[in-house]
Amino acid sequence: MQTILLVEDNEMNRDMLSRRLKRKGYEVLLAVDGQQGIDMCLQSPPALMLLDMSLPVKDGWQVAREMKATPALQHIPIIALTAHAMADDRQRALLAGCDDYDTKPVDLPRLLGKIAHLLGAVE
Amino acid sequence: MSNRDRIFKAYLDDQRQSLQAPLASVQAFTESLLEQAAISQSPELKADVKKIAKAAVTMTEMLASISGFSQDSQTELSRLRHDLRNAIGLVDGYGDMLLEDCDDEVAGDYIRQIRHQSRLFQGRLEQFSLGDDGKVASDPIAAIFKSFKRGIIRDDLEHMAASILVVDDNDSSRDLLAHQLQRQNYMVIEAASGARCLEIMRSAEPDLVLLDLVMPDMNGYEVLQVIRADEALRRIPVVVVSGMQDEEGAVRCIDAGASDYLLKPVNGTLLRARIGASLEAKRWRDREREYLAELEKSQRFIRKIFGRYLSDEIVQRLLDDNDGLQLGGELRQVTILMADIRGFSALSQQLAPEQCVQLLNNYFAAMTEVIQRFRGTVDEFVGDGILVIFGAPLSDNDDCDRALACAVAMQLAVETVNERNRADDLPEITIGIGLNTGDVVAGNIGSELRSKYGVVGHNVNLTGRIESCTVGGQILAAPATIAASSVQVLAGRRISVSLKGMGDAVMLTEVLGVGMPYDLLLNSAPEEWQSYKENISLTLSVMAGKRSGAKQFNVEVCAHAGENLRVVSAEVLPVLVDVSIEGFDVACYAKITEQLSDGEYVLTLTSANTQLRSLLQMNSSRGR
Repeated sequence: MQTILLVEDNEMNRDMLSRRLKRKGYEVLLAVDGQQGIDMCLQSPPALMLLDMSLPVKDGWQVAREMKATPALQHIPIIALTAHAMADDRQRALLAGCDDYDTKPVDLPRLLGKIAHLLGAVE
Repeated sequence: MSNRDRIFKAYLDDQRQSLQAPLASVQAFTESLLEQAAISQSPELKADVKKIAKAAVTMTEMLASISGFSQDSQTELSRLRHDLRNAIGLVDGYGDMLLEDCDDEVAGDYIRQIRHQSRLFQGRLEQFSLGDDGKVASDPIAAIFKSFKRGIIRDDLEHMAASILVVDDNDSSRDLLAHQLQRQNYMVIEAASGARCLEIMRSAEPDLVLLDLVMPDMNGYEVLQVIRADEALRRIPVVVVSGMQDEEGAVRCIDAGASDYLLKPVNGTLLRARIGASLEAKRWRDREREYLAELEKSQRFIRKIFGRYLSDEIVQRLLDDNDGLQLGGELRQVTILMADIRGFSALSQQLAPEQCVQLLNNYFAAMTEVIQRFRGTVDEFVGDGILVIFGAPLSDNDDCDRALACAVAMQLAVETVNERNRADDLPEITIGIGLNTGDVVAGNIGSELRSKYGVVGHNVNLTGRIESCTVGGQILAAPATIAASSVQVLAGRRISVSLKGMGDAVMLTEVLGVGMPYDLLLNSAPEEWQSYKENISLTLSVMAGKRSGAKQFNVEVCAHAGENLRVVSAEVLPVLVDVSIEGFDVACYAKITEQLSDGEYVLTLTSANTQLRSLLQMNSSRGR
């Protein structure tokens, strides 16, 4: 069973998305802010990180940059999630080191497709 | 608050309401879900439904910030959108999970409805803008319309049947109605107050209004009264929706102009039926209105066309009479007036076409004015001739008197025409007028496609012959006209002529004036004969029709008075016959108007060129 780390500050969102992913056969770990997310990755690296970009304290862009700058973590694929739908959001996310990008509200089949694609590429 | 700000506020308010509606529906459905056994008996499912409900409440609260937006609130809008997108994700996510978890059919339907409302909300959210480039403020109606269009719920339906304005101060009951209507594929607009209702009615012209009676500030009755007093608003049917269970209230509403009345809670089937009936009635009224507008247009057309020929009074009476414009005819006694410009054929040959038209226009304009004044009906303009009827299509006791007076007034008006002609550098004219009274067939003559009111018959032809006997400035009336007149007629010479179709010789009367109440007199001071020292020889050709060259006569001119020449002829000359005077570059015409004694006649010039005038030692002025 592959592990996905979901970094999301909103409790309801966390609850909802984690449950949905679990239903699709993933093990889901939860982090409520960016620093916790990085710390968890260092402890036990997940197969993939789902990263909400608008996080308090350390936002998603910073987290992504740090992850990709850390040799032990740079192999973990990151999918950025954002409720902003600006044209350059995607570009910014990819520049920050994210491997893919999806918008909120989440279209689950689409997100699952991206997850599967990235996990397949890693294997 | 400036007008622009007020419009923008109204726009925001409208946007907020349009976003709120689907959320209210989500809440309503979650409430229904919680009542379903399949949900209420499962703590897990119940918890998820409550999460959806909570998300909907949170979203509705977020929408409140919209009211505080300005056109520069781009950042705030972006933030709001961000937060709302997150919340939509919750509704969608929990909804999808519930669908997976719950196999109850009814509950499943409710959940699908929630998912649908959520998509609807998202659609509206993505379209919501603060009006880039100030488009909202510059074209508020279009902007408001654009926002109304978002009321279209079924993306599978290309076009909406009708737009319905739901007016209720209570958000939940308004949303419920809106929801019901949207499901029936109506385009729904919402208003939370009476004032807003009137505003939207004026700007967006919905097809129907569902009006709540009990509202603060302005209640339903007051709204109805404003609507009834406004011609534009009156056309929109209003169905009153009230929680008050009284018949009297319903009657009062109908009295105040409501087209129907529904009680709360509104039964969906009844709502659909009442709305359908009111819309159908409106469609018929709209069609009727279009028809009336069409009718008014055609009446305006009739007035314009007939107005050229008939007096206003007659046009109105024709329009009032439904059968007035039907084809058909009737025998009527009328007085017929015919006038034409003497020597016009010759005159027109000397003029350029545009000059000719200018001359005719000067003439017809002045004559039509006179004819209208005496309530005559211009039946026809033929070339330079005018055929006027007195006594059709409407007859009066004084038809004949008005015709006589009109003839004199027309002769007097010729001086005005000549003033204009002099100003326009056109030759002066004289006209001859013939009058006759008798029976004619009057009616719309022609085909369905092309018909005109006109008169036909022997008496019309006869008038033409009488008129052809006149010289410039002269009016000749048939005995029937003189007999039928009750006005005093100042008669000049009596001329006995034998006219084709009249059997024996007819005694025509030269009309010089009419007495009271018209009191019109021709200013015809007869000029003295001025004799020539030596007689002048002329060759005359009798004209058959307009062609000269038949019989020729040689005459000697011995005197002249105005346009009249006294001539001596060895042969007997025909009287009241047109002749051309031979031997000039430009054709000259005259009429043998009177026989003075054996071998002595009066020849009246109708068209003389300068060459002839200098020969006759006449000045070039044609003044009488």
